[in-house]
Amino acid sequence: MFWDQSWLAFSVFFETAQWIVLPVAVLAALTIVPRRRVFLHAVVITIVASFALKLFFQQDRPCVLEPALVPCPADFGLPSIHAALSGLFFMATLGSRWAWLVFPLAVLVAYSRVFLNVHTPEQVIAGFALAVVVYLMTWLYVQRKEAAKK
Amino acid sequence: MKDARRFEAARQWFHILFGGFLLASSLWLGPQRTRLAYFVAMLIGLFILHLKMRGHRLPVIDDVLARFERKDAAFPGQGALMYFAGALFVLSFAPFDFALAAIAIVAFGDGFATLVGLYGKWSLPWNPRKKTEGLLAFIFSAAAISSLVLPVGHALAYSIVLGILETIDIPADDNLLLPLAATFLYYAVPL
Repeated sequence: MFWDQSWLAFSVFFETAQWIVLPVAVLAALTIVPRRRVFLHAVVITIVASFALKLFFQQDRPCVLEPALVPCPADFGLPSIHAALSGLFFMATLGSRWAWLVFPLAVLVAYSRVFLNVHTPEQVIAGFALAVVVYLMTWLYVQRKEAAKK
Repeated sequence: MKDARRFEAARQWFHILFGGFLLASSLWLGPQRTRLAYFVAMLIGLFILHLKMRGHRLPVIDDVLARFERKDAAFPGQGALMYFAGALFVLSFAPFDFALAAIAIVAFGDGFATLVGLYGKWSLPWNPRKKTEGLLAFIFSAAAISSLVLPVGHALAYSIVLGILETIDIPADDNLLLPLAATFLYYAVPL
């Protein structure tokens, strides 16, 4: 009972307070992640790309057909921005000890989207895939640029 | 020079065989399980990268990386991670059959292009480092394998465009660039 309620509260918190949690989490991450420049660029690119992809694919969320545990968000479902940003935070902490804390948190946030029925598992995986691709490309680009400077 | 060529040939055979294995297992698993399997594989890959960045020694993985990893890799396991990231992206954003074709084009086209290109004689006018024989090997091998899941005309058209793209010097990893370009191509030029 306690765990069920805690899990529900956790899931609902990341849905309702998302636009407060995101800037706080980004600012906090900037103090701990090893590759700040890559992370900051990747966050901006991921958010812009996620909204663009949502508009392009216009894929409904599962809560359009079956009610969710929270009010069904008005925007489209593919990809999940929560999953994308969670994946990005995990990618950004790779190589640091913070990864051990961020990884389970990222998995829980991503899974909470399916639990609340606001995303399908495919939409969550797509969000994660987008984050990985954006982060790896930004990482390579910044590395090559810095190597060229030297 | 001969050693470098042998190393690159071994890398590409591994690339092709691994791609063939992924393709066969994806056909067997079906769309949903394949996406899930790639997602889990990607997470495992990222954990291995994390451990390598922390300086851990990983017995079997270290041997594989020493044998097949490029010396100029930006981070440990770059090739494999890029490959999985590209595959997961195309599987997530394109229809399953097309995604399989894109994965096959990267695995077989890129692999055979390098294998044949190593012994090629005629440089391409727009990129002297790449050989015409390699481009032709890319197109024919990619078209042949992707025609298993796409109509032959479509397979050939995608292989030609992606083959030419692979010969252009773009500062991005081919394993990631080609699936991204394939996804873009699928929606930009519907066949």
